[in-house]
Amino acid sequence: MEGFRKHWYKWLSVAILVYVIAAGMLVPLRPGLMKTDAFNIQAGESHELTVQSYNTFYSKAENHRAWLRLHEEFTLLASEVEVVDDRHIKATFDIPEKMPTSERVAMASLIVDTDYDGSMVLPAAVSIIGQEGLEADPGPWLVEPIRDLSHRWTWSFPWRNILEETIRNTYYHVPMWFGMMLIFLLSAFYAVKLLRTGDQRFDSRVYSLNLTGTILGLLGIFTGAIWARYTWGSYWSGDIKQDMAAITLLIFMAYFLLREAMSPGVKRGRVTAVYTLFAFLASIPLLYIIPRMQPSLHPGSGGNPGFGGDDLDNTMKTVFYPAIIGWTLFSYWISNVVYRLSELKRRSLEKNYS
Amino acid sequence: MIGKSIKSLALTQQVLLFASTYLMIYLNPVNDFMRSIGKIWVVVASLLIIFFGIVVFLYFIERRISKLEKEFDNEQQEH
Repeated sequence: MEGFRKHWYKWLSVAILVYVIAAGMLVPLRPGLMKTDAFNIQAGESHELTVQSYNTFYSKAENHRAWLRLHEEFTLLASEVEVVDDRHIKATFDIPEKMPTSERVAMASLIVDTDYDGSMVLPAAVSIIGQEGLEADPGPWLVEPIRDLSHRWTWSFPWRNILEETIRNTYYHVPMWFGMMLIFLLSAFYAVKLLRTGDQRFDSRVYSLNLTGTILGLLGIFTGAIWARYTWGSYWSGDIKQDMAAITLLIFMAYFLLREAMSPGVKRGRVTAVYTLFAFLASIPLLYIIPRMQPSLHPGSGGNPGFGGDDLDNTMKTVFYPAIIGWTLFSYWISNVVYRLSELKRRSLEKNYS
Repeated sequence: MIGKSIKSLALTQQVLLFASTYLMIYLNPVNDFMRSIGKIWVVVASLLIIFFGIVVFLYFIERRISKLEKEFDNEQQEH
Protein backbone atom coordinates (compact mmCIF):
# COMPACT_ATOMS: atom_id res chain seq x y z
CA MET A 1 0.00 0.00 0.00
CA GLU A 2 2.82 2.32 0.89
CA GLY A 3 4.54 1.46 -2.36
CA PHE A 4 1.41 2.32 -4.26
CA ARG A 5 1.16 5.73 -2.60
CA LYS A 6 4.71 6.51 -3.65
CA HIS A 7 4.54 5.06 -7.16
CA TRP A 8 0.93 5.72 -8.19
CA TYR A 9 1.81 8.13 -10.99
CA LYS A 10 4.20 5.64 -12.55
CA TRP A 11 1.52 2.95 -12.75
CA LEU A 12 -0.94 5.56 -13.99
CA SER A 13 1.46 6.70 -16.74
CA VAL A 14 2.07 3.11 -17.86
CA ALA A 15 -1.66 2.31 -17.89
CA ILE A 16 -2.42 5.48 -19.86
CA LEU A 17 0.40 4.84 -22.35
CA VAL A 18 -0.79 1.26 -22.93
CA TYR A 19 -4.23 2.69 -23.71
CA VAL A 20 -2.76 5.43 -25.92
CA ILE A 21 -0.62 3.03 -27.97
CA ALA A 22 -3.39 0.41 -28.25
CA ALA A 23 -6.21 2.81 -29.12
CA GLY A 24 -3.97 5.06 -31.20
CA MET A 25 -2.81 2.17 -33.38
CA LEU A 26 -5.93 -0.04 -33.48
CA VAL A 27 -8.88 2.32 -33.98
CA PRO A 28 -9.49 2.40 -37.75
CA LEU A 29 -9.52 5.43 -39.99
CA ARG A 30 -12.80 6.65 -41.43
CA PRO A 31 -13.39 5.64 -45.08
CA GLY A 32 -11.99 8.11 -47.59
CA LEU A 33 -11.23 8.67 -51.26
CA MET A 34 -7.56 8.35 -52.26
CA LYS A 35 -7.36 9.15 -55.98
CA THR A 36 -8.91 8.82 -59.40
CA ASP A 37 -7.32 7.50 -62.59
CA ALA A 38 -7.80 10.74 -64.55
CA PHE A 39 -6.30 14.21 -64.42
CA ASN A 40 -8.44 15.93 -67.07
CA ILE A 41 -11.89 15.33 -68.46
CA GLN A 42 -13.09 16.97 -71.68
CA ALA A 43 -16.43 18.74 -71.45
CA GLY A 44 -19.07 17.30 -73.72
CA GLU A 45 -17.77 13.74 -73.29
CA SER A 46 -18.84 10.82 -71.18
CA HIS A 47 -16.07 9.70 -68.88
CA GLU A 48 -15.68 6.66 -66.68
CA LEU A 49 -13.72 7.54 -63.57
CA THR A 50 -12.10 4.76 -61.49
CA VAL A 51 -11.96 5.86 -57.88
CA GLN A 52 -9.57 4.29 -55.41
CA SER A 53 -10.63 4.55 -51.78
CA TYR A 54 -9.43 3.63 -48.32
CA ASN A 55 -11.23 1.59 -45.64
CA THR A 56 -14.46 1.54 -47.66
CA PHE A 57 -16.85 -1.40 -48.04
CA TYR A 58 -18.59 -0.71 -51.33
CA SER A 59 -19.94 -4.25 -51.67
CA LYS A 60 -21.76 -3.91 -48.33
CA ALA A 61 -23.63 -0.82 -49.49
CA GLU A 62 -26.75 -0.94 -51.66
CA ASN A 63 -27.00 2.63 -52.80
CA HIS A 64 -23.93 4.31 -54.36
CA ARG A 65 -23.94 7.89 -55.60
CA ALA A 66 -21.16 10.13 -56.87
CA TRP A 67 -21.01 13.82 -57.75
CA LEU A 68 -18.54 16.17 -59.34
CA ARG A 69 -18.66 19.59 -57.73
CA LEU A 70 -17.39 22.91 -59.07
CA HIS A 71 -17.15 26.03 -56.90
CA GLU A 72 -19.39 24.67 -54.11
CA GLU A 73 -22.62 25.36 -56.06
CA PHE A 74 -22.43 23.45 -59.38
CA THR A 75 -22.91 19.69 -59.12
CA LEU A 76 -23.20 16.84 -61.55
CA LEU A 77 -24.54 13.42 -60.53
CA ALA A 78 -22.86 10.34 -61.99
CA SER A 79 -25.13 8.60 -64.47
CA GLU A 80 -23.85 5.21 -63.35
CA VAL A 81 -21.78 3.92 -60.42
CA GLU A 82 -20.36 0.43 -60.72
CA VAL A 83 -18.73 -1.37 -57.79
CA VAL A 84 -15.45 -3.05 -58.78
CA ASP A 85 -14.50 -4.26 -55.31
CA ASP A 86 -14.65 -2.94 -51.74
CA ARG A 87 -11.99 -0.31 -52.43
CA HIS A 88 -12.80 0.66 -56.05
CA ILE A 89 -15.78 2.05 -57.89
CA LYS A 90 -16.25 3.22 -61.46
CA ALA A 91 -18.36 6.34 -61.79
CA THR A 92 -19.56 7.47 -65.22
CA PHE A 93 -20.09 11.18 -65.70
CA ASP A 94 -21.75 12.69 -68.77
CA ILE A 95 -20.10 16.09 -68.77
CA PRO A 96 -22.28 18.78 -70.42
CA GLU A 97 -20.78 20.57 -73.42
CA LYS A 98 -20.96 23.97 -71.81
CA MET A 99 -19.07 24.89 -68.67
CA PRO A 100 -21.13 26.42 -65.83
CA THR A 101 -18.95 29.53 -65.68
CA SER A 102 -16.92 31.49 -68.21
CA GLU A 103 -13.63 29.82 -67.26
CA ARG A 104 -12.27 27.15 -69.60
CA VAL A 105 -10.58 24.90 -67.02
CA ALA A 106 -12.07 24.19 -63.61
CA MET A 107 -10.99 21.90 -60.79
CA ALA A 108 -13.79 19.64 -59.63
CA SER A 109 -13.97 17.79 -56.35
CA LEU A 110 -15.47 14.34 -56.17
CA ILE A 111 -18.09 13.34 -53.63
CA VAL A 112 -19.06 9.72 -53.11
CA ASP A 113 -21.91 8.68 -50.86
CA THR A 114 -22.91 5.14 -49.95
CA ASP A 115 -25.45 3.97 -47.40
CA TYR A 116 -22.80 1.88 -45.62
CA ASP A 117 -19.72 4.11 -45.41
CA GLY A 118 -21.38 7.53 -45.49
CA SER A 119 -20.16 10.43 -47.59
CA MET A 120 -16.56 11.11 -48.65
CA VAL A 121 -14.88 13.99 -50.46
CA LEU A 122 -11.79 14.12 -52.68
CA PRO A 123 -10.82 17.78 -53.19
CA ALA A 124 -9.41 18.78 -56.59
CA ALA A 125 -10.07 15.29 -57.99
CA VAL A 126 -10.10 16.13 -61.73
CA SER A 127 -9.96 19.20 -63.88
CA ILE A 128 -12.66 19.69 -66.46
CA ILE A 129 -11.55 21.27 -69.73
CA GLY A 130 -14.20 23.17 -71.63
CA GLN A 131 -14.36 23.65 -75.39
CA GLU A 132 -13.30 26.91 -76.89
CA GLY A 133 -15.84 29.39 -78.18
CA LEU A 134 -18.80 28.14 -76.16
CA GLU A 135 -20.90 30.24 -73.85
CA ALA A 136 -21.34 29.37 -70.19
CA ASP A 137 -24.51 27.50 -69.24
CA PRO A 138 -24.95 26.63 -65.56
CA GLY A 139 -28.30 24.91 -66.26
CA PRO A 140 -27.24 21.20 -66.40
CA TRP A 141 -24.97 21.72 -63.38
CA LEU A 142 -27.90 22.72 -61.16
CA VAL A 143 -30.22 19.76 -61.83
CA GLU A 144 -28.97 17.34 -59.20
CA PRO A 145 -27.86 19.07 -56.01
CA ILE A 146 -26.08 17.08 -53.31
CA ARG A 147 -28.65 16.01 -50.74
CA ASP A 148 -29.67 13.23 -48.35
CA LEU A 149 -26.05 12.36 -47.57
CA SER A 150 -25.66 9.27 -45.44
CA HIS A 151 -23.75 9.24 -42.21
CA ARG A 152 -22.53 6.35 -40.13
CA TRP A 153 -20.91 6.86 -36.76
CA THR A 154 -18.12 4.53 -35.70
CA TRP A 155 -15.23 5.00 -33.29
CA SER A 156 -12.71 6.04 -35.91
CA PHE A 157 -10.18 8.75 -36.69
CA PRO A 158 -10.71 11.28 -39.50
CA TRP A 159 -9.49 10.49 -43.00
CA ARG A 160 -7.21 13.24 -44.31
CA ASN A 161 -5.60 13.17 -47.74
CA ILE A 162 -1.77 13.17 -47.62
CA LEU A 163 -1.85 12.54 -43.85
CA GLU A 164 -3.65 9.19 -44.13
CA GLU A 165 -2.64 6.85 -41.26
CA THR A 166 0.02 9.28 -40.02
CA ILE A 167 -2.74 11.27 -38.31
CA ARG A 168 -2.01 8.80 -35.47
CA ASN A 169 1.31 10.57 -34.95
CA THR A 170 -0.76 13.19 -33.13
CA TYR A 171 -0.62 10.83 -30.12
CA TYR A 172 3.14 10.29 -30.24
CA HIS A 173 4.78 13.35 -31.81
CA VAL A 174 2.65 16.17 -30.39
CA PRO A 175 2.71 14.98 -26.72
CA MET A 176 6.53 15.07 -26.86
CA TRP A 177 6.27 18.87 -27.20
CA PHE A 178 3.46 19.27 -24.67
CA GLY A 179 5.46 17.11 -22.26
CA MET A 180 8.60 19.14 -22.91
CA MET A 181 6.79 22.42 -22.21
CA LEU A 182 5.31 21.12 -18.95
CA ILE A 183 8.65 19.66 -17.84
CA PHE A 184 10.44 22.95 -18.59
CA LEU A 185 7.74 24.83 -16.68
CA LEU A 186 8.40 22.62 -13.65
CA SER A 187 12.13 23.15 -14.12
CA ALA A 188 11.68 26.94 -14.08
CA PHE A 189 9.59 26.53 -10.90
CA TYR A 190 12.45 24.66 -9.19
CA ALA A 191 14.99 27.20 -10.48
CA VAL A 192 13.03 29.95 -8.68
CA LYS A 193 12.87 27.77 -5.58
CA LEU A 194 16.65 27.26 -5.71
CA LEU A 195 17.29 30.99 -6.01
CA ARG A 196 14.95 31.75 -3.11
CA THR A 197 16.06 29.05 -0.67
CA GLY A 198 19.58 28.16 -1.81
CA ASP A 199 18.76 24.48 -1.22
CA GLN A 200 21.15 22.52 -3.49
CA ARG A 201 18.69 19.66 -3.91
CA PHE A 202 16.76 21.93 -6.26
CA ASP A 203 19.86 22.14 -8.47
CA SER A 204 19.58 18.40 -9.06
CA ARG A 205 15.86 18.88 -9.76
CA VAL A 206 16.53 21.58 -12.36
CA TYR A 207 19.26 19.49 -13.99
CA SER A 208 17.13 16.34 -14.21
CA LEU A 209 14.09 18.19 -15.56
CA ASN A 210 16.16 20.08 -18.14
CA LEU A 211 17.72 16.80 -19.30
CA THR A 212 14.34 15.06 -19.60
CA GLY A 213 12.79 18.04 -21.38
CA THR A 214 15.65 18.18 -23.87
CA ILE A 215 15.30 14.44 -24.57
CA LEU A 216 11.58 14.94 -25.18
CA GLY A 217 12.34 17.83 -27.51
CA LEU A 218 14.88 15.79 -29.47
CA LEU A 219 12.40 12.92 -29.80
CA GLY A 220 9.84 15.49 -30.97
CA ILE A 221 12.29 16.81 -33.59
CA PHE A 222 13.14 13.33 -34.91
CA THR A 223 9.57 12.01 -34.96
CA GLY A 224 8.50 15.28 -36.58
CA ALA A 225 11.23 15.03 -39.22
CA ILE A 226 10.21 11.53 -40.31
CA TRP A 227 6.55 12.58 -40.33
CA ALA A 228 7.40 15.65 -42.42
CA ARG A 229 9.40 13.52 -44.89
CA TYR A 230 6.32 11.57 -45.93
CA THR A 231 3.71 14.34 -45.73
CA TRP A 232 5.42 17.67 -46.48
CA GLY A 233 8.10 16.14 -48.72
CA SER A 234 11.34 16.64 -46.82
CA TYR A 235 12.80 16.04 -43.37
CA TRP A 236 13.31 19.74 -42.77
CA SER A 237 11.35 22.34 -44.71
CA GLY A 238 12.38 25.39 -42.68
CA ASP A 239 8.90 25.63 -41.24
CA ILE A 240 8.70 28.35 -38.58
CA LYS A 241 7.74 25.91 -35.83
CA GLN A 242 10.55 23.53 -36.77
CA ASP A 243 13.13 26.31 -36.69
CA MET A 244 11.90 27.86 -33.43
CA ALA A 245 11.75 24.45 -31.72
CA ALA A 246 15.33 23.79 -32.83
CA ILE A 247 16.46 27.15 -31.41
CA THR A 248 14.70 26.41 -28.11
CA LEU A 249 16.49 23.08 -27.89
CA LEU A 250 19.86 24.71 -28.64
CA ILE A 251 19.27 27.23 -25.84
CA PHE A 252 18.51 24.42 -23.41
CA MET A 253 21.50 22.39 -24.61
CA ALA A 254 23.73 25.35 -23.72
CA TYR A 255 22.57 24.84 -20.13
CA PHE A 256 24.49 21.55 -20.01
CA LEU A 257 27.61 23.17 -21.46
CA LEU A 258 27.41 25.91 -18.84
CA ARG A 259 26.90 23.38 -16.06
CA GLU A 260 29.81 21.21 -17.19
CA ALA A 261 32.06 24.25 -17.49
CA MET A 262 31.66 25.23 -13.83
CA SER A 263 32.86 23.36 -10.78
CA PRO A 264 30.11 21.96 -8.55
CA GLY A 265 28.92 24.18 -5.75
CA VAL A 266 26.57 26.93 -4.65
CA LYS A 267 27.72 29.32 -7.37
CA ARG A 268 27.10 26.84 -10.16
CA GLY A 269 23.63 26.16 -8.78
CA ARG A 270 22.72 29.84 -8.84
CA VAL A 271 24.21 30.61 -12.26
CA THR A 272 22.58 27.61 -13.95
CA ALA A 273 19.25 28.35 -12.24
CA VAL A 274 19.32 31.89 -13.61
CA TYR A 275 20.22 30.50 -17.04
CA THR A 276 17.32 28.02 -16.83
CA LEU A 277 14.94 30.88 -16.11
CA PHE A 278 16.33 32.77 -19.11
CA ALA A 279 15.96 29.68 -21.32
CA PHE A 280 12.40 29.09 -20.16
CA LEU A 281 11.42 32.71 -20.73
CA ALA A 282 13.06 32.63 -24.18
CA SER A 283 11.07 29.50 -25.07
CA ILE A 284 7.75 31.32 -24.59
CA PRO A 285 8.03 33.67 -27.60
CA LEU A 286 9.91 31.00 -29.58
CA LEU A 287 7.24 28.31 -29.14
CA TYR A 288 4.00 30.18 -28.48
CA ILE A 289 4.21 33.62 -30.06
CA ILE A 290 6.44 33.71 -33.18
CA PRO A 291 5.00 30.53 -34.81
CA ARG A 292 1.51 32.02 -34.57
CA MET A 293 2.52 35.20 -36.36
CA GLN A 294 3.92 33.37 -39.39
CA PRO A 295 2.37 31.09 -41.99
CA SER A 296 3.30 27.50 -41.22
CA LEU A 297 2.80 23.96 -42.43
CA HIS A 298 1.83 23.01 -38.90
CA PRO A 299 -1.86 23.22 -38.02
CA GLY A 300 -2.82 25.96 -35.58
CA SER A 301 -0.50 28.61 -37.00
CA GLY A 302 -0.94 31.94 -38.73
CA GLY A 303 -3.00 33.54 -35.99
CA ASN A 304 -5.22 30.60 -35.15
CA PRO A 305 -4.49 29.35 -31.65
CA GLY A 306 -4.60 25.63 -31.12
CA PHE A 307 -5.83 23.16 -33.66
CA GLY A 308 -9.15 21.45 -34.17
CA GLY A 309 -11.70 20.47 -36.79
CA ASP A 310 -10.61 17.43 -38.76
CA ASP A 311 -7.05 17.68 -37.41
CA LEU A 312 -8.28 16.91 -33.91
CA ASP A 313 -11.92 15.86 -33.69
CA ASN A 314 -13.73 14.55 -30.62
CA THR A 315 -12.73 10.93 -31.27
CA MET A 316 -9.08 11.92 -31.45
CA LYS A 317 -9.38 13.91 -28.24
CA THR A 318 -10.28 10.70 -26.36
CA VAL A 319 -6.76 9.49 -27.16
CA PHE A 320 -4.87 12.79 -27.48
CA TYR A 321 -5.57 14.24 -24.01
CA PRO A 322 -4.69 10.98 -22.21
CA ALA A 323 -1.56 10.85 -24.41
CA ILE A 324 -0.39 14.23 -23.08
CA ILE A 325 -1.00 13.20 -19.46
CA GLY A 326 0.59 9.78 -19.99
CA TRP A 327 3.77 10.98 -21.73
CA THR A 328 4.20 13.83 -19.22
CA LEU A 329 3.86 11.56 -16.16
CA PHE A 330 6.19 9.03 -17.79
CA SER A 331 8.84 11.66 -18.45
CA TYR A 332 8.45 12.98 -14.90
CA TRP A 333 9.27 9.44 -13.75
CA ILE A 334 12.39 9.50 -15.94
CA SER A 335 13.41 12.88 -14.52
CA ASN A 336 12.96 11.49 -11.01
CA VAL A 337 15.48 8.73 -11.72
CA VAL A 338 17.98 11.29 -13.03
CA TYR A 339 17.28 13.47 -9.99
CA ARG A 340 18.08 10.71 -7.51
CA LEU A 341 21.24 9.82 -9.38
CA SER A 342 22.57 13.38 -9.48
CA GLU A 343 21.58 13.83 -5.81
CA LEU A 344 23.70 10.77 -4.94
CA LYS A 345 26.63 12.23 -6.84
CA ARG A 346 26.24 15.63 -5.18
CA ARG A 347 26.07 14.11 -1.71
CA SER A 348 29.14 11.96 -2.27
CA LEU A 349 31.04 15.04 -3.46
CA GLU A 350 29.89 17.00 -0.40
CA LYS A 351 31.06 14.20 1.86
CA ASN A 352 34.49 14.09 0.20
CA TYR A 353 35.13 17.82 0.40
CA SER A 354 33.81 18.48 3.89
CA MET B 1 29.51 -5.58 -88.64
CA ILE B 2 27.15 -2.63 -88.78
CA GLY B 3 24.19 -4.91 -88.20
CA LYS B 4 25.85 -6.34 -85.12
CA SER B 5 26.56 -2.93 -83.64
CA ILE B 6 23.00 -1.80 -84.33
CA LYS B 7 21.76 -4.94 -82.66
CA SER B 8 23.90 -4.37 -79.58
CA LEU B 9 22.84 -0.73 -79.54
CA ALA B 10 19.22 -1.78 -79.64
CA LEU B 11 19.88 -4.26 -76.83
CA THR B 12 21.63 -1.61 -74.73
CA GLN B 13 18.72 0.70 -75.36
CA GLN B 14 16.29 -1.97 -74.28
CA VAL B 15 18.26 -2.74 -71.13
CA LEU B 16 18.47 0.97 -70.31
CA LEU B 17 14.76 1.40 -70.92
CA PHE B 18 13.98 -1.57 -68.73
CA ALA B 19 16.34 -0.36 -66.00
CA SER B 20 14.94 3.15 -66.04
CA THR B 21 11.36 1.90 -65.97
CA TYR B 22 12.21 -0.45 -63.14
CA LEU B 23 13.96 2.37 -61.27
CA MET B 24 11.01 4.68 -61.86
CA ILE B 25 8.58 2.14 -60.47
CA TYR B 26 10.89 1.20 -57.62
CA LEU B 27 11.81 4.75 -56.66
CA ASN B 28 8.39 6.19 -57.35
CA PRO B 29 7.56 7.90 -54.08
CA VAL B 30 3.96 6.77 -54.32
CA ASN B 31 4.90 3.10 -54.29
CA ASP B 32 7.66 2.95 -51.70
CA PHE B 33 7.51 0.96 -48.48
CA MET B 34 7.00 3.85 -46.08
CA ARG B 35 3.97 5.02 -48.04
CA SER B 36 2.31 1.60 -48.23
CA ILE B 37 -0.84 0.81 -46.18
CA GLY B 38 -1.78 4.46 -45.82
CA LYS B 39 1.73 5.48 -44.57
CA ILE B 40 1.26 3.49 -41.34
CA TRP B 41 5.02 2.75 -41.24
CA VAL B 42 5.67 6.45 -40.56
CA VAL B 43 3.78 6.05 -37.29
CA VAL B 44 5.66 2.82 -36.54
CA ALA B 45 8.95 4.63 -37.22
CA SER B 46 7.93 7.42 -34.81
CA LEU B 47 7.16 4.91 -32.07
CA LEU B 48 10.50 3.16 -32.72
CA ILE B 49 12.34 6.52 -32.49
CA ILE B 50 10.72 7.16 -29.09
CA PHE B 51 11.50 3.61 -27.93
CA PHE B 52 15.16 3.83 -28.94
CA GLY B 53 15.36 7.30 -27.39
CA ILE B 54 14.34 5.73 -24.08
CA VAL B 55 16.86 2.90 -24.64
CA VAL B 56 19.70 5.38 -25.24
CA PHE B 57 18.63 7.24 -22.12
CA LEU B 58 18.74 3.98 -20.09
CA TYR B 59 22.25 3.31 -21.37
CA PHE B 60 23.29 6.84 -20.34
CA ILE B 61 21.86 6.37 -16.82
CA GLU B 62 23.55 2.99 -16.45
CA ARG B 63 26.93 4.48 -17.35
CA ARG B 64 26.46 7.19 -14.75
CA ILE B 65 25.58 4.57 -12.14
CA SER B 66 28.68 2.51 -13.02
CA LYS B 67 30.81 5.63 -12.54
CA LEU B 68 29.28 6.26 -9.11
CA GLU B 69 29.80 2.61 -8.19
CA LYS B 70 33.46 2.83 -9.12
CA GLU B 71 33.93 6.00 -7.06
CA PHE B 72 32.23 4.30 -4.16
CA ASP B 73 34.50 1.24 -4.43
CA ASN B 74 37.64 3.43 -4.58
CA GLU B 75 36.53 5.26 -1.44
CA GLN B 76 36.02 1.96 0.36
CA GLN B 77 39.56 0.87 -0.53
CA GLU B 78 41.09 4.13 0.66
CA HIS B 79 39.55 3.89 4.12
